[in-house]
Amino acid sequence: MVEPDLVKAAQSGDREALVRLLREIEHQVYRTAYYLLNDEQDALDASQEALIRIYTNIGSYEEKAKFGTWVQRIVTNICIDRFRRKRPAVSIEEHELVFRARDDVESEVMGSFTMREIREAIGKLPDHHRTVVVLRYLQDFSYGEIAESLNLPLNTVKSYLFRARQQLQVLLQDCQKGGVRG
Amino acid sequence: MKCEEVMELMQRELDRDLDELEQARMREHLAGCPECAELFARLKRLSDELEQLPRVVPPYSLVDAILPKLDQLATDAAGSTGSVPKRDEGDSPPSAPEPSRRPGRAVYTRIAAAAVFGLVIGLWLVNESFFQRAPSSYEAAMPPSAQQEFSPMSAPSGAAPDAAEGDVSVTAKKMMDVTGTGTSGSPEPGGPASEKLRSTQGGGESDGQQAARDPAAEYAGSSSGGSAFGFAGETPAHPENAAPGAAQGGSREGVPMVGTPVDQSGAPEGAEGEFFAAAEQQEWPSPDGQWIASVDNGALKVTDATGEKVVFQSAAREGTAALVEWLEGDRLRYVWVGPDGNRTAYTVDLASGRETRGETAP
Repeated sequence: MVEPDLVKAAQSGDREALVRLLREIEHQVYRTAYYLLNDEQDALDASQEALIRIYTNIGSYEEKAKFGTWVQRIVTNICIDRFRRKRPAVSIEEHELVFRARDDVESEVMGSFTMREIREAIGKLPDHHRTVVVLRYLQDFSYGEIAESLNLPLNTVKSYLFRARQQLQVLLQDCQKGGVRG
Repeated sequence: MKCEEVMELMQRELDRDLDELEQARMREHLAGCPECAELFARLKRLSDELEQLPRVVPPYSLVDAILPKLDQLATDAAGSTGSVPKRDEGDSPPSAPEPSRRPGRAVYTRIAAAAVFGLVIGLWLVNESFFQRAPSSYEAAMPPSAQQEFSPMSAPSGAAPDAAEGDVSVTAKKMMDVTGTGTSGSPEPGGPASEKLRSTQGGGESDGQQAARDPAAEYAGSSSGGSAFGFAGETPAHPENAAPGAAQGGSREGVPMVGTPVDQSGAPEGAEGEFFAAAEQQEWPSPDGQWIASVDNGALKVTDATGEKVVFQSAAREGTAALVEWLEGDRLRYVWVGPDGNRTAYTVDLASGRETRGETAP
């Protein structure tokens, strides 16, 4: 939780406060980018772009929104743009190939799935579904905070999240049946 | 009640959005509908696992990396409008009156200075063979699952002198953060220790400048902070500026990483032992100072700040907690290391007083 006073100081032109503010949010920004883009280097690039955008646009932040949701709106927009530019149309088949060919670098078992399996499954979700899942589970956002971040109605957020979990559950079940785990 | 209606209740239950009445209605339906009960079990398991996804952190400080760019933006804007955030460091000459797209000379000077400094320290490092001992001690003290958490896509840190910045310094810093300031300060709730703990949730962890300023955190910052460098006691005004140059020179161009061990020269002898001691610290105050997690007779226990009221206690097990991280919403995650070295991750929800278990790789 970022101190409102720090945000105010940053907005008033205190550069040290602004840099400190960026330091406070850089991990949150990176975490979202990492799980949305599913690639470390892309996530690093997108996070830096987001931080620079926050730096230059801090004056446009209005207190009626939570600072955290404003930040997440910026980083999710950047990530969705990048994702669409990079992979305009990836078929499920291509996804499958990548999925099977990858080295098992993330074979850490989390409960019954590996982290890689979960991340890959998240990566297969439609953009908005994925974003909602990331904000819910990696930022611990409420329905309302997600709605504010993505500028979506509350019911839409719920419907995206519910469908996303249904899809994930099916994807992971398929993945286990397919014997991908090594 | 129809299955479709229960579907929404099940989904909302996963987000802790049901009131008691709704919960009762859902349970009643599940008791008589095996299909829905099975689906709910699957969704619950999925949701639990999503909650356990690692809170990854970048392998280097992103803010340090973009500082030159921010300097440039400030300079550009100052030249054209004069309404931008002012430089407050006072460490570079006033920018030229005409707007310029080139980074100021001061930036180059700082980058060059940091690079030269880095080389010198790199050479010193090789001689001291610090990395040939230190990373292994970090690894011994840290469960691999925890290392995985910080930078899952990076290669595991090796013992080579040019080990990547993120792997060693972030891991070490994280460890210091997680374990509080056991080597240099008392873990009083709401004090420096909880401040450092809070950083495990994503706030200001790599803020070498802050670490350098905070006497209680000095050891943690100076012995592990990639951005703290050796400047902590020498040039306290500029650690922030020195970092980006070295971060770029170090991690991006393959120059041996110099941030981490620099301060070992100033650290007390037997620093390895102190890392171990720090890893064994067994109290973890929550960021808001309201709760204290501790290991008590082989169980993870959470009490209120006075230590008297126990709000959660796990089953007694052999071993100890290695990694405790407070999450938002009065939840905490910990990794239990058994006597055989097996690690198991648990997430505790203080509101419900329950913990959920997730395994980690052996």
